[in-house]
Amino acid sequence: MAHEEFVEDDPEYEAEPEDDDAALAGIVPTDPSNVPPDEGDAGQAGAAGDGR
Amino acid sequence: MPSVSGLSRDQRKDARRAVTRAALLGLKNPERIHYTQDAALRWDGIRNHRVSGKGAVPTHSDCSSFATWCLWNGLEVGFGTDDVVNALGWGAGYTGTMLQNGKQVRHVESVRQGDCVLYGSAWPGSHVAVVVGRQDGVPMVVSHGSEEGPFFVRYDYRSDLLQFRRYI
Repeated sequence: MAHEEFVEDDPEYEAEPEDDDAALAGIVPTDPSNVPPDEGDAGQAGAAGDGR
Repeated sequence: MPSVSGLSRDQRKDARRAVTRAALLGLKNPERIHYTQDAALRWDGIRNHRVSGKGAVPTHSDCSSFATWCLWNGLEVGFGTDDVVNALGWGAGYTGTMLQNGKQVRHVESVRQGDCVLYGSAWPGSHVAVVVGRQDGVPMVVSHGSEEGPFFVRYDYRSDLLQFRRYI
């Protein structure tokens, strides 16, 4: 992969505003043990990745 | 140095909110979003211009096309931004291209709404979810990895967290 760049090293992202989490109020997380196994993602078999 | 998306700080805040709204709309409508990796169906949300602000969600998607659809709502719909998520014109992509674009977020403390969490042991990754904010200081994600999804879970609900990435 190309040289990795990090958000923390980019001055543009300094003092990025905090999020407003009000939209999450009252939403109850699903216990991970109750989440069905993720089925993967298109492209995992080495294909180009999909619907071009 | 411009942001990944080229948006200003205020625009990024609006974009992050729009991404979150899209993800939460999907969360509230699991029966409308069928899970598929079928190339002919998984880009329904973007291809058919299903804008979350109008109450629309994809009829079909997998994890990466759902995450890309959420970001498309905040970036392309909101600001006409080019595809900075997969660099494939908002019409293709998967976790491998998502890992090749954007910028990595090194620390969990820096994670913001609209960032993505990628899972797997190495490139090209095997799953991705969208950060929608925090509960009790913990980043929470909306993850669409099965027909029963999307789900609202902690970012570390899987043990194979690969990296956080930002596209906004």
